[in-house]
Amino acid sequence: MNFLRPLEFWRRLEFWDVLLAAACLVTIGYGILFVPNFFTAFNLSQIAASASEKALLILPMTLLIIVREIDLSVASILALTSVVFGLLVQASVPLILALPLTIAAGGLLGAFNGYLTAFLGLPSLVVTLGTMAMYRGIGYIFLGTGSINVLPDSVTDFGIDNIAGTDIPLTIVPFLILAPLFAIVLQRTPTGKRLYALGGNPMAALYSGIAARRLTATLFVLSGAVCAIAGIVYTARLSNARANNALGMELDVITIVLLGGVSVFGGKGRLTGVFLALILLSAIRNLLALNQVGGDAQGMVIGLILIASLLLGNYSKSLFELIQTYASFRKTEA
Amino acid sequence: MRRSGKVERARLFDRRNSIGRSILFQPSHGPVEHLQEIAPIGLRNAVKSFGRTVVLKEVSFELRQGEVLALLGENGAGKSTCVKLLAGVHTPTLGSVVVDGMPADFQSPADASKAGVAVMHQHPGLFPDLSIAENIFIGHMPTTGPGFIDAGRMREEARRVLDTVGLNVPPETRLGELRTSEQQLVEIARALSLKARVLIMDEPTAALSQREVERLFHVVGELRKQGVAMMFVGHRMDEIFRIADRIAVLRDGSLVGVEPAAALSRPAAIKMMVGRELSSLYPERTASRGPVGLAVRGLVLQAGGPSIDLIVRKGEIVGLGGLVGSGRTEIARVLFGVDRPVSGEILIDGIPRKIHSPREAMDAGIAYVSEDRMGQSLVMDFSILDNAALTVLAKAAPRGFYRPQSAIELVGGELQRMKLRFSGYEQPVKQLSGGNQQKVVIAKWLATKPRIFILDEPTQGIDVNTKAEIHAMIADLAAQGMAIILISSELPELLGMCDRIIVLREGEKTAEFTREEATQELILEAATSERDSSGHAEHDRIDAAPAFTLANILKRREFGLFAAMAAVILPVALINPRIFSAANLTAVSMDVALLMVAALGQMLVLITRNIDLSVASIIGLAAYLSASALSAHPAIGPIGGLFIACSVGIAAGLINGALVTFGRIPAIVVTLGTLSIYRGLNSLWAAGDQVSADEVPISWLNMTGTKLAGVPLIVVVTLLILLTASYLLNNTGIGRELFATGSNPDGAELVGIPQRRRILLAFALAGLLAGICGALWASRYATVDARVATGFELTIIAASVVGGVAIRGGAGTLFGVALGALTLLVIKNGLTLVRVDPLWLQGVYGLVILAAIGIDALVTRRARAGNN
Amino acid sequence: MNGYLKLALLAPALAFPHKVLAQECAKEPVTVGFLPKLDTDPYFQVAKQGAEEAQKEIGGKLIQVAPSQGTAEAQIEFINSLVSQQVGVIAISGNDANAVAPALKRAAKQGVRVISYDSDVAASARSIFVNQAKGDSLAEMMLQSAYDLTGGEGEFAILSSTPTATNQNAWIEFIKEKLAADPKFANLKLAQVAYGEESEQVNQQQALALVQAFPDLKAIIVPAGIGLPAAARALEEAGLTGKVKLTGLAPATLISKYIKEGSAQDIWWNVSDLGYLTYQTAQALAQCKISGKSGETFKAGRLGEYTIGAAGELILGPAKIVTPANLAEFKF
Repeated sequence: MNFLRPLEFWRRLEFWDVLLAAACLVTIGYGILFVPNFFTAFNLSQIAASASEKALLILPMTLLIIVREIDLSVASILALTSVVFGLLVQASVPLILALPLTIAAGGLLGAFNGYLTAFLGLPSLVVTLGTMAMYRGIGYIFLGTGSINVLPDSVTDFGIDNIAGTDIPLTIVPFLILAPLFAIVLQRTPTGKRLYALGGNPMAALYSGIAARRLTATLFVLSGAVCAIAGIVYTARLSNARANNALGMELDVITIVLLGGVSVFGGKGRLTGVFLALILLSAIRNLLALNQVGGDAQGMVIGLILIASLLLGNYSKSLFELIQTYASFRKTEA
Repeated sequence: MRRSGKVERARLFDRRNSIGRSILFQPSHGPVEHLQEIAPIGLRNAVKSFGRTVVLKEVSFELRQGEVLALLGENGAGKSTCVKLLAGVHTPTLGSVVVDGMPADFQSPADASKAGVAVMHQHPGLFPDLSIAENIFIGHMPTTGPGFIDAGRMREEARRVLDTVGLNVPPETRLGELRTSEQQLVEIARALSLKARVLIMDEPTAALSQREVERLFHVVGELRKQGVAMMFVGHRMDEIFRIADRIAVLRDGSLVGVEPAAALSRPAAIKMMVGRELSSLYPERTASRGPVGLAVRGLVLQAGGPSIDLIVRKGEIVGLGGLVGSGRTEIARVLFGVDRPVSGEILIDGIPRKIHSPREAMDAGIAYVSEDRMGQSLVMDFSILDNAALTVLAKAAPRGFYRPQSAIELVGGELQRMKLRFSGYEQPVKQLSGGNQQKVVIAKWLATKPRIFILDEPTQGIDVNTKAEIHAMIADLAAQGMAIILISSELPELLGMCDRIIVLREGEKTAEFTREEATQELILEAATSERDSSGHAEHDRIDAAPAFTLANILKRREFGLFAAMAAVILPVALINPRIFSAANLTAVSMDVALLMVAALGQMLVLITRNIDLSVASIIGLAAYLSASALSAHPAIGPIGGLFIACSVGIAAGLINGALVTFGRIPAIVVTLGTLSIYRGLNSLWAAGDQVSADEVPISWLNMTGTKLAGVPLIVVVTLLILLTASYLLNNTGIGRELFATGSNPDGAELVGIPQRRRILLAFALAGLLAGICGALWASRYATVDARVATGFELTIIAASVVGGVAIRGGAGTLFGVALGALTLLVIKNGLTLVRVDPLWLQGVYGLVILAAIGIDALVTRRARAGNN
Repeated sequence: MNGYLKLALLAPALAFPHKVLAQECAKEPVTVGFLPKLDTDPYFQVAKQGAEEAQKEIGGKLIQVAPSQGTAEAQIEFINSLVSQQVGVIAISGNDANAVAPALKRAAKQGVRVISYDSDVAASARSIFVNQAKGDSLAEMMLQSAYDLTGGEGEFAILSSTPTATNQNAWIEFIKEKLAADPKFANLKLAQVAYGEESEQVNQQQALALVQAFPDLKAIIVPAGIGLPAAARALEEAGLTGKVKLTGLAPATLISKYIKEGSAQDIWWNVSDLGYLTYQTAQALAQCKISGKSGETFKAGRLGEYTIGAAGELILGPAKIVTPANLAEFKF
């Protein structure tokens, strides 16, 4: 990472990221100043813990939306893999096997999505709408309405404890590890360029020799695998493997990604913005809850923010691009 | 300067006043004309720029009644822009369009249409999902009464105008089933049907056979007698000189001159177009013949089609000529691995290679510069460097990490070689001119160090100077031993560049000429069909018209749904005959009615290529607000409650629609947000409370439950709504325009359909229907709280998808949607009655959705294969 | 940019060293946070009224927050929120006994006391469970009621609330055990357990579905407050009132019509009192007057003396069968 001359820095910044960062600062500042109990170790630690699964799910979702696809089945894969994990553990399968098996199961579920979308050419919105219902249904068939809550101690401890000596919950660690990996792949490897090309102009990507179908299918498999990891984290955090876990989480995840500046039209958006959006929305939900605002009303605020942000973005993007073009000219003249 | 106002608008419509004061109207060159009549339309000092690129520089000319003005110019000279200005698609940056001598302000194609201008577009604004007749008359359908389509008259007039252009196909045929040339004829028919006083033809003959061209010219002759002012844009000299009275020549965005056709000779015209002697556009080449680089043997593109052989030697430039759709690009795509041939062999340097993907083609040393620069060669948002390095990404990342420096090393040389004019590697490629963009594309491919280079229309839409540079570059590559295939529609280019020219016609190789032998006439002759295009091909189509054969019925989606329902009902009836009991039928029918109303609204939005995720929240909000209003003021009665629910629904729908159309936010994002907003509003209003059954008047509850002859009122109401909607969708102009908007949004733009208003209408109606559904829901289930209908949106969308509404827009039937809703609920009912765990139902729904779209895809694929 | 972000994330964590708080004894009435199962269930609104009455009497502060989904995940968010708001006691009606336990234990580590009411959570996660009536007794009364309505023979079904609800599941378990063990109920068969998901629509649909799926169904037990009136309405609409009998737990006012007709029975209690008792208990616990051990007694305002039973359970009192005669005394 190079942070060269200030001009270079400003040129590299995305307008959206700046806006989000400002919003985060304002929100957190408001929280610190006006909402007692916001800036406590416990509260911040719980914000991170509650966001553990969503944080994981936004990673593959970002990549999928960049290539003009979408995956509505993420929450259902989470639930089904949670059930699978619970069943494996209940059958006394040692963790060293159960964990990779669960992740593989998630990958398989994602592969099914990928096959239908990339190789059969069906629209991903409808395919994942169908698998969203189907996977959760399979979860109910496996486990009915019951739950498995007898888990090995290592799992329950992982779900409850923090990193030794700090207030950082262990459940956010998978995200902390995977997030930089995803960001590096997206921004600094040829694969990332291929993803942006595929989203920016699928035909041009195809005609440039990019294996579009394989790439898309791989993304879905990756999505399934990450959902499985999120499923394990969820099971650990709630000490509970159940078929109705994470009901409705997919809409939250998609909202975060869209708020983070990823365009539904594809080809644009960075993980930095998505991370900022995650922080912003988690903080807002937390502040509202601290002010006794209920779940649906919280959703309303977030819906308003999503729409307002896009309206704002549409009407002031041109201004910022002008500044950027000026900066780019100044640089190349040098 | 644009001057518009009510006065000018009034003048636009005053067609009768065409004879008036004469204008001294001076084109920049050519004789001064004293006009007895005012020209119906023209450009006056029109300047047009897109961003920093100036495309037209102070162009002035006029069209005259009963005359054809031909617009001549090289690719990129600005002809299309002139057409778009006159058609109302663009507005001039400076200067104006002049109608009847006064400046006119065309804000949209609809304005141009009203002023009496009809346009045959080069890339037609046609709607594959609509019928031919609808395509012809969209935007100006013959009506009876307030907006209702007069189907009989439309069919009659469609048949008449189709006869005029010589297309012998039933007007009810779906446009998507026609071939390219036939679709072009429909475009022509559409322009003619407007009975305009100004007709602008933009490359109308590109895809037509000789016979069809003759037909068109005959029509032009008739129109001339009727005094229609016409403009003809093309670049085939023969056609131009035959048809034109005057010829206007554009070069690099400026008007070079307007001359009477009789007074202009061909070489003089070409000189005006090109600005220099023809020969200097194409470099001198010595024919060097190396060994065979590429050989194609027995290539068959389509089942039952002719087989093609060709060879290209190293150092040779072979041209592929022919009309649009003759197979040139198809061959290129097969060579590049994008398409698979039915049979054939490809040999590179004498070794047979399997080429099944572009990656394999690239590995074999083949490079392909596609004809659609913006659509297939460049990622517009990427920088120059990113685009240029797109083909060699792996090499630009030595240790797994992409380094711009490595990319520059790989492609920088090629970009320099192309003499690219740019301001920096990071410059977004969309800021470059067409010519420079093409240079980036070529550089991108040169970076792969190919041995065989296929260029498809490489100089289309590029200014003359850059063209010469590219031609020089191509000659250079050949001199270095590359085998080059050049596909071009410009005969001078083929003649000037190629060592050999192969001509294709409808997938068959009809001629091969060496450089010395070839002439424009020979090539044209070999390229155009003598076979009557209204011959056996049409007979096939008429025979295959939707007959009520068993096979056709089986293929229809509705049958599939009936089959699915039967597959559930029959076994369940055997196990538990209570499926047919009155109580069960009543309950199911009421559920189905609710779902159908909501699904109808969703369909309206889906056909315009949008989606409404907030529908369930609107239902909930409407249900709760109407119920709570009734409990507070029982006097308003069911009518009052219904009114409140509908108002809430319409308001919510309008907000959705406004955000989509005026806020320019994609529908999926808007409705994702409003889904939460409306639900939140509902929650806040309810504050944890319920409106229970005894708090509302009995008449409200009876609204849905009362039975008319054994059928619940809610079912009757729903059926009425569905029938009305079906009638309106199929028999009003507005209804058909909704389909058109989704079928081809760009085309809708060109034709002048007020897209934003239509989409707003679709959302408003969807909201209204959701409101009605909410009222019915509150009446049916009696107790409402803030969680009414949570999650229902997915069932609604599923019902539409299962019922055959295409997510991509433009297609869908009400009957299908009704059946889809019925199927889903019948399955649910059946499974419940055989005691399948209700939680498993989700899994079954998911399976049904996947099966529905899977079968859809299979059927479409087979149909497409069958048509070819 | 990423690096700086990571630092920003970690900063607050590094700023606060980790500490564990002990549960202290309050000298004055504290803030009590009520956390019902769901925000749209009027049952909990009425309970809150009782709690407010108690709050006026003995002081302290009352907050109530509820999730919009009847899931553990949603409740955990609010548990954390209440802890952050530094309430003294959390009174929770659990959506899922085990899933909320880790969050409650975490709350305890932060010095917050936990009691449950209406629907219990894992015993290790709370000090006291304020139950409206003895679970066994409620279940037995419902079963007895079904027995009476059907004449002791035939099939019956249970229409519960959500699959994870602790209280309903406890009652259903008891009913199943009694059916198997007691010879009196030998001819009564449980056909299926369905779930109404606390939704009017689903309850109505499930009630009808049960009737359609089991032609010999004689009665439905609906141990869910919203479910019983919904099932009654559904049956009425289908013309089956009286053919299939209904019994269960429901707000008396909502089912009064059917009770008067005789097509339904109801077992109910004074919901407002439950809230009153819960508040009293919470304050007593916070001030260390009781600690949840079996045998402890305390005075709960106007309700009198209460003794804590086994496993920290506190019973409000016996439930009553609602008849047309005593219908008037139930305000909800």
